[in-house]
Amino acid sequence: METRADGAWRDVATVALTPDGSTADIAGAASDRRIWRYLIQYRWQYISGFFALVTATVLALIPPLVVKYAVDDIEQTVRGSGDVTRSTLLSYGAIIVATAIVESVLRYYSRRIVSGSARHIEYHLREDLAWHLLSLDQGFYVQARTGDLMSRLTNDLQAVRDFIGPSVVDISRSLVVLIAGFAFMLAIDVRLTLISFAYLPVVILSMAYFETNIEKRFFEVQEQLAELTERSQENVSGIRAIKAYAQEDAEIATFARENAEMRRRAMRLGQYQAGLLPTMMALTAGGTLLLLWFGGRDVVSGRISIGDFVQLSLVMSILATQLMSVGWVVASAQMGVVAIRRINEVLRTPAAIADPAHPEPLGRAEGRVEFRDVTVRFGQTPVLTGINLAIEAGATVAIVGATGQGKTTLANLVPRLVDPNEGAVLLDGRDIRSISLADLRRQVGFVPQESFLFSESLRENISYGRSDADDDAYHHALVTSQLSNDLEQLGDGIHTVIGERGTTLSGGQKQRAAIARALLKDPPILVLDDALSHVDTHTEEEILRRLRDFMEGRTTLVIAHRTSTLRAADRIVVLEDGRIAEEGAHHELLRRGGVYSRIYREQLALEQRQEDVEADLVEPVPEGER
Amino acid sequence: MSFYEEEELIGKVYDRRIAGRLLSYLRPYRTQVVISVLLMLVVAGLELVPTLLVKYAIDEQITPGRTDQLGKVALLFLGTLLLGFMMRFVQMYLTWWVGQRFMVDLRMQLFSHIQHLSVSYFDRNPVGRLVTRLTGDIQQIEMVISQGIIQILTNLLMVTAIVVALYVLNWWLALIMTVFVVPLIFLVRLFAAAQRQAFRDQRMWMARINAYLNELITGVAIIQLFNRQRRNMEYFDQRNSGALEANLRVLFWYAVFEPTVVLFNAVTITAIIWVGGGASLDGAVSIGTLVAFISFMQRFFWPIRELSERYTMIQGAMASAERIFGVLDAPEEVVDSEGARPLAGVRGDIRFDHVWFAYEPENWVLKDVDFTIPAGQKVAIVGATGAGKSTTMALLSRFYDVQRGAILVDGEPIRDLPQRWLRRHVGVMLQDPWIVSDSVEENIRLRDTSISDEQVRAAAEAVGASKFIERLPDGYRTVLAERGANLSTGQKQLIALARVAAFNPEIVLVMDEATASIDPETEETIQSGLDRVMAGRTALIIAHRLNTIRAVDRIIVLHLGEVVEDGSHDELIAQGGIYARLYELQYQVQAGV
Repeated sequence: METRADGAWRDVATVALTPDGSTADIAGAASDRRIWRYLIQYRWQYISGFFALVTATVLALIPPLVVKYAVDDIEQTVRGSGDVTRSTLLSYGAIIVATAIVESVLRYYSRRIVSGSARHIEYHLREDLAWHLLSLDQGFYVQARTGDLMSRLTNDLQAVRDFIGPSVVDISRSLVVLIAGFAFMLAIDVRLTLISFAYLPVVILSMAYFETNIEKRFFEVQEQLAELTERSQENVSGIRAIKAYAQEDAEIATFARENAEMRRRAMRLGQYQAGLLPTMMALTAGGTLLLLWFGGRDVVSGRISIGDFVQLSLVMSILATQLMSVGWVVASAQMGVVAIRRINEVLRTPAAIADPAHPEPLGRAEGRVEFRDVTVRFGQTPVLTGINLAIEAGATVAIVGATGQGKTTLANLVPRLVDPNEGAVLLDGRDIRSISLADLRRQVGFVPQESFLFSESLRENISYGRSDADDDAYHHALVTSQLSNDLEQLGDGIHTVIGERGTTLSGGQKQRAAIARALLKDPPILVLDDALSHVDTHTEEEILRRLRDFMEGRTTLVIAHRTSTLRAADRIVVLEDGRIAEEGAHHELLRRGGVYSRIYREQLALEQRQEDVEADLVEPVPEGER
Repeated sequence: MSFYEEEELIGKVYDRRIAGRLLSYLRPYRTQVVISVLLMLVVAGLELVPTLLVKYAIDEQITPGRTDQLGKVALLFLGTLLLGFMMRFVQMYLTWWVGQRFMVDLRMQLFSHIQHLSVSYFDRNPVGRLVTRLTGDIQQIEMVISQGIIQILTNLLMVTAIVVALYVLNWWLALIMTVFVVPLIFLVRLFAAAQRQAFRDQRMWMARINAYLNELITGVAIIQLFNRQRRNMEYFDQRNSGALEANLRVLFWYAVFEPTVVLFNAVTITAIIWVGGGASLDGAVSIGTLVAFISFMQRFFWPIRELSERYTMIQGAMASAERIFGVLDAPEEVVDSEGARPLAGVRGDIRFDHVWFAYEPENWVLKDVDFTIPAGQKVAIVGATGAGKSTTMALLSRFYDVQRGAILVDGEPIRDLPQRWLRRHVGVMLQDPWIVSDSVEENIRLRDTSISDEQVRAAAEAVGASKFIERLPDGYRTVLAERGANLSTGQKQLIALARVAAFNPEIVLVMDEATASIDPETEETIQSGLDRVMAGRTALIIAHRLNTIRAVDRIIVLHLGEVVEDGSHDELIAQGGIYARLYELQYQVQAGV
């Protein structure tokens, strides 16, 4: 495992992509450890459930036996050689009902305990998976797709649950029914038993044939459905272009082709789907036919009694009903194995950024940050190369550069969202990799480029910074981030619930909430990654003015464009192609007339233009203009 | 994507209006439907034959100790079996076939309707919703047609056939069975209702888990940065526990169901043996009848259970149908007027005749816009965001109808022209070109079969796109990724240019606002491509490139929906108004002063 630590996710991803799943096994089969562990944890439930199951299944074969005695008694009495009375028949009935009651209780118990354990294991596994996801680094998330991960935590887990629950119950029951049924039938007649059991494989194989084929065709249909979804998505999102070129008919023609293909595949599935039930019915009846043909003569010839005949037919029908589910079990087991593999892929992906084995404790840091010969690569592409930068405690450093020069990566290094491939980042002179992640991240107030808020109340979102903050602290954070002015507009002020089912905040409001969140944390280090891009100029100035007080005595790393921020920074670092191109105080660099002075002037001109435009009181942009 | 779309899943079980409308889609296939129903009736009858044959064999052959007819009985049995198998297969296949046809028809109708809806409909409805209509909702209905209805009818027929057979065999024994069956039906319905509720809760909790997972995964960096793993996992656990609880409830109803079957069977067998057996002692009931009763009663339970399970399925389908019809009933807002006839040819004169336009009533986006552009002239539209530039373009394509005034092409109001004909003559180069996951070729001609391969290549050649296309692994046949993910911004724009050239319109509209960085070389290619596309055509450009603006004949400045300046570059600079100021600022930025 250690050797493939780095590329684990990539490797398994390719495994998962193999359509037929035949490459299964390298990562898969051997690694079901965690699921095994839970199965062992629940072993008593499984064992007791199994015993209940065995007993219930054997009990189910008793009523046919009682029926046999009843039928034989009746037949003999009718012929005049017996003397059965109604009360004897009633006592037969009583035995049947009594057996059925015990069987019912045991059946109920076994299903609840086994499938219940499976559902508990599903719960634990989901918890484990979610915890594991929270520990994985950005490197993992760049490659993983959200939808796929979600599907592993829901659909795949359900497949596993079905496999270790109902499937296990069904497999065990089938086995017990076969063995017990064999024994019961053997007691009646050897020849008939052998004939019946020669017939059973036909039933099992036919069912397995249908189920596996249905599974395969069903998968094809699902693929085409995905294709149709893709096409619809593409079409609807491009509807303006389609209309602009009057290509509606061409689109309809393309869609019709995909739709026809869908029907073709569905019809292939239909052949098997339509065959399944008739075959099941025919097979069950076929068993009765065999019995009638061979058993009927045996009764006449006196080899067996009429009661034996009835018992046999009842036992046969119990066997057949049970074995009908074999096909389903096979399909469910196949899906279960694939799902276990997909779940293990996630669980076995190690967190590339993790706590050190023996972390050195850290209280509140002073805030001295140093990048020493830092190189970061994404795959083969270098993003940052040989960065050397020491930031004194309390200093403000602005990072400048065009898109794609490595600014965000530099910022991400500080709270270890990214680790350097070479070199080290030091905090107060210590390699940050020697500090626990929790301790390190406690030091950093981070405002990312894309502000993300959870569907919780605004207050809860801000409380991410510090859960034990008092009202004054909230007030301060809200005022500094200029969010306090907006509170009135929101229905419930700070308790307004945000997100899909709540109030939607504007981009600027979201960014300001993200700033408030970082401020509430009261950290010695502040990292602002283009944190005000969606805020209007006026508010931006206002926030920056207030932030300056806050930044006093804190080390601040700010990625920004606004000239006022640049002017206020103690030092400017210009990144170009992942290297430090220029570095120094604002005036110094401006005098030098290099990259920085050009960027600064462009920005200045842009700001003037914006002011002009905003002075004109711009009307709101209507939907259709976007 | 339907994960987050927690739409109301539960519909009415039966709504005559919706059901009637759904059934109307079966009309073309009524022969198949009728055959299928007839087959179903026959199959239900055949279903009874084996049991009755066994009864006959026991009573007439085995018990009296004869075997002379046994061969005939077995042969008849085999015959019924094979016939039943075939008819059942044909019947099921036929229904499946009808279901698929139905689905294809409905989906095509829906898709075509969506193609013809006006742009304003798409302003209001998110993409995901329409995609769900086309896929998930249709699938839901298809399932009911090809599986649900059949199952229901088959089960109903089965139950009926068994009841008839029981009464014919022995009416008073059958009557006694009824005493057991009626409470059973109530019990099953009770269970089914409880189970449905449990299922609904289960689905709801899974939807919540999904929604929260989505948040956890998207916001994972924030959770890590703020050391909030424990708190967020508490929230997750609430949902996970909720799901577990609902799951266990579903399981409880499953677990209860099985014992119910066992007990029901035991009680009926007891009754048959005690009452029926007792009667047979007097010779009133034959042994064969007893066996037949036991065998029929064992098959009674499942159809009843299945019937109640289909309930949920139908509910879901009704809700889906209602949503689909909702889309189908949405009117096309921009429609061709009666007697709309294309012009013989297009010169390219454009006239905005005192145009007023608003997306929402009274919120005017364009106010009394009035200008004339003679054929062949190139005009830049300039103004701040929200000035109404893109609206002007959208109106010229007739994506929306103006409220007051008129837009005329070659002196003809575009309201009186067929809209799709109009759009073939007004080419638009969109800001963010639409790229589909298909070959470069098809991306240029947008799958329009009237444009030949040669025309595609000539167009790409003309705008300078051929150079990069020919370097692609399969040239023009290279399949592009979704949304053109494997192309640079510049390359996407070159494809959009080639597209305009391939469609060869008389009027071109170019949306060319500031975009992310494009390398200087590509920039140059795009620039000259643009020039070539505009040459010899009437062109309206929303431009940010100074070179483009300087190359046009005329500039119209829009401000808050009104034309405030109109003239050539030099004139407007001399005028010293808004344009002059904008130009100066832009020039500073782009020249990097």
